[in-house]
Amino acid sequence: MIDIKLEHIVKKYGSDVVAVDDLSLNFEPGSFVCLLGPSGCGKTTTLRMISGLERANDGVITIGGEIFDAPKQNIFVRPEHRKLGLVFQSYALWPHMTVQENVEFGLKMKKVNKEERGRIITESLDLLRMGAYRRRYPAELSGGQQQRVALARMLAVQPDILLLDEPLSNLDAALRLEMRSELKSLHERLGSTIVFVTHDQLEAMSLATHVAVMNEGKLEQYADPMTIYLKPATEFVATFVGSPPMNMVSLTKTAMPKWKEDLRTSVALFRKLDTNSERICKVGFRSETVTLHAMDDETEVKQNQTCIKGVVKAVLPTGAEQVVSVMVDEEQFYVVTQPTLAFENGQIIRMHINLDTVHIFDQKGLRV
Amino acid sequence: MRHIKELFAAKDGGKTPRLLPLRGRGAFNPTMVLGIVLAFVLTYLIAIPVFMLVIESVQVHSIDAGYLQKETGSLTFSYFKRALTSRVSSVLFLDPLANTLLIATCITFCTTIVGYVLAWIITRTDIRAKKIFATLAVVPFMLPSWSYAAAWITLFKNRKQAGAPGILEVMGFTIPDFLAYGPLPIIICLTMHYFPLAFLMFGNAFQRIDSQMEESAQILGANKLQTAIHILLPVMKPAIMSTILLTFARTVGTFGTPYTLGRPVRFNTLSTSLYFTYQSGEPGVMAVIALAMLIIGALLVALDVYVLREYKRYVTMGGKGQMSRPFTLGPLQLPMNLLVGLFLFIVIVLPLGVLALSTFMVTPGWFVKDNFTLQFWFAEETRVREAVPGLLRDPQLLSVAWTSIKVAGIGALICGTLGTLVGYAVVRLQQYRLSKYLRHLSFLPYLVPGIGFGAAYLVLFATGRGPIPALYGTLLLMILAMSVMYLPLTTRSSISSMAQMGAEPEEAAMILGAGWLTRMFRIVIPIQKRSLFSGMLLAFIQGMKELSLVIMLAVPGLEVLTTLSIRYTDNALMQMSNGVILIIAFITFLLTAISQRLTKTNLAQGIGG
Repeated sequence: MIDIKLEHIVKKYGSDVVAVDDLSLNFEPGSFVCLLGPSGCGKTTTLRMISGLERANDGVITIGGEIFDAPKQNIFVRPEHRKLGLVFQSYALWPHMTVQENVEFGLKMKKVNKEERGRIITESLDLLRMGAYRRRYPAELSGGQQQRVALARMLAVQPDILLLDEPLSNLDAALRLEMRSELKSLHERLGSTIVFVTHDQLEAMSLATHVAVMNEGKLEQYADPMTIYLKPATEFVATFVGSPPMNMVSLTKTAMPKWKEDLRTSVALFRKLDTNSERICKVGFRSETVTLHAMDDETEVKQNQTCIKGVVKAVLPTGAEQVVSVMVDEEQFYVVTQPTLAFENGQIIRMHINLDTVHIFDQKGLRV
Repeated sequence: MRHIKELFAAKDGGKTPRLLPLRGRGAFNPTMVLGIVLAFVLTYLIAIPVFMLVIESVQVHSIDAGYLQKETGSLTFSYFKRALTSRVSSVLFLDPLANTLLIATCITFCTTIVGYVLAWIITRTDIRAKKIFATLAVVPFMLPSWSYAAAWITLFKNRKQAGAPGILEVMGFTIPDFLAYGPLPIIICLTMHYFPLAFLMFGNAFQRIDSQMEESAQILGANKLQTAIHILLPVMKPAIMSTILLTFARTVGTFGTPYTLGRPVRFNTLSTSLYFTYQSGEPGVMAVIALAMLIIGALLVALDVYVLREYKRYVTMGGKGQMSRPFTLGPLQLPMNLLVGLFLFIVIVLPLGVLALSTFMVTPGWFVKDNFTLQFWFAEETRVREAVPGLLRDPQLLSVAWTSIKVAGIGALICGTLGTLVGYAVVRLQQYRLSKYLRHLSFLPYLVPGIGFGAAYLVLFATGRGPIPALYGTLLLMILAMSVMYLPLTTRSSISSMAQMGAEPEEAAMILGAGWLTRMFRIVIPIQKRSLFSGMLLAFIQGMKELSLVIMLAVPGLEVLTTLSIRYTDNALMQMSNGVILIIAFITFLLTAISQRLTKTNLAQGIGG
């Protein structure tokens, strides 16, 4: 098992486009790391630098204790010598080769003898339940099958590290769920270090042991999935992770409506902060930490709660639950409730917000 | 010039819903009627001429009736014997065949390499000014095919031939025959003319290939060379194969270059031999040679169909991945830019410069003040050998240019109309065999040598047959031949845009009560306007510079610019011939520029952009 260490990595395209900006990350041996972020945040570039398909402009990349890329010291190990596996979003299977030949290629490059090759091909295709398709051409396979072959092709060479670049985004929803559980069990069986790039926060949450959230070339937060969800380090992480997105109230304006003043006061008091503190810039709360009450409902506001009045705009049932969209002045909030609770459009209701799960962010968007 | 396979592949792959099949008594399907009419027209214009050529080659001709002692029209194999086994067979047929295969092979090889390397440099490296290079790389193909031969002879002609010697001889060099005439210069000149075809096809293919396929190989331990050999080359194979076939077909049928550069040393190809047998009144042998060319064409078509089927799985793999970062040239960037620039200078500026320069000199290459002249362009009567007026003062030139424009223009119009209708019928009648027949037949001229096709037309329309009068020597025949020759261009673009459009727009009109004609004129044609227009312009441009086809159909009094230029060459009026080439080039450039403005498209579109 191998660890990966990125220290102060910088990658620029041309003179002014900075794709990755001073990124430092440590991937523990055997971890399943997700690089998560919106498109253009530098996550794929980071993956390509680990694989050696791109060279960093500055910083040091160390894999398994060995320096692989260090522009300052003029060290660079070419991708073909890095012993990695990389699965692309497009799978990039070679159309002129059969499934078997696709898997065999890497073994040939490693000069594995013929018998051994046959054994490994069978093994890795069986592992992904593709043994029956070895004589087919990629064009004769479905998307999910192509995906498996792409994985088998990389697993066959027994890489120290497996890199996956949005491997599930070309699959339909049902197949994606199936491949997710497949990937997770694969990781548990092989125990190798996996780095996974995705813009789908649900995928990151459900698969990874560690998530690195990136935005505009910078690392926003690096932690285990539950910490990312429960204690987002920045305003960006808070809004990017979670569905429906976290409700965010801006408290910066000087002339604020009364409900915002009240919210600010109660949050400050609860957290024992100065009510006029400049650091209470934005307040966020997740949609499941709110309870909805009709005006004639006599439920009291608890000690650790605060109350805001609003109007129901729409009710969106999903089966297991329902998402209620609530308007307060011009601002929209999402609340997740039991599907049995009945609300009508235009109905005036009270939102009881749990104060212990409220997140406060300062002017720089950092967690307070 | 797009990939022929694109059409066979995905786009019209049976997914376009067909319009209501009409059943029952009284059901009248205008599309079916159109398809049947088109099938008859195409059969008459494409299949019958080839058939007539076969007849012509085994039938006693009136001029031979006496010496063969057989009746005119009776069966004979003497033409085949004369071409294949007689004492003159090596001169008439066998040597030209060997020469044709030799030069076609060499040219195909050279253009493939040049086109591949250039396409790779422009699409896959970080060379600067990609767009400009890509646009310039297509220019040689817009010049008449024998422009390079004309420039070559202007530069390298030696004193052994009649007329003024070439520039280098005048400057004091002695040019050996092998450098001045024959296979070597033919191969060089035609490579310069045809490499843009390969460049366009490879450029498009490189652009479409998912570069992550190469990166996967690299990750698995393959170095750049191994990746190039095991991944890139096999994936490019379909593009390479169809480029080879197309270039081969074009070079087999080309006439101007071997005529200009081969004749002085009696180096004949099938095309020149065919022309000479025609000139010397041997229609039977001419038919045999033309037949041989058409057989080569047919073999190429068969190969193309085979290759297409074999490689279908390649084409269906669409590249979803993004283009990778280009190959970094590093310190080689500037030298590479200079190299590509120099290459394009040699294939564009140099030949055009030589041609232009020669038209301003009494003796090209003799650089003294008195030798410079404007007479070839402006004099009322030039002072060299024959008393002909300068090009721009020549009323004949104007009428010939007008004929050229008429032939190419009306040809393109018919070609466009026919192509659109064929495209419509092919897509809408997909469930019938008729659709396949129409498609294959209309693609046939794509790989058939032009001069062989010209010969077939000559034979078919030399005499009146049934209701069709003899058309030999008429403008109409030239127009007809032209529209059929370029039918593949318009049919291909029409099929793909019809398939893209789908049946829905027409079905919507049908629901609202529009009849077939209304749908055609109010829905289909307006939607297809743009592709129709650009297809026709392409045919027009090609038609303006076409020589191989029209050389067989031109007669004294009915000439086009290209044949006029050849006639000037025959009369050793190098400057005049070169001047006409420049006029053709000027018209084609102008038209190309206008069409690019109007349709906002570009032949080299997407490559390097």
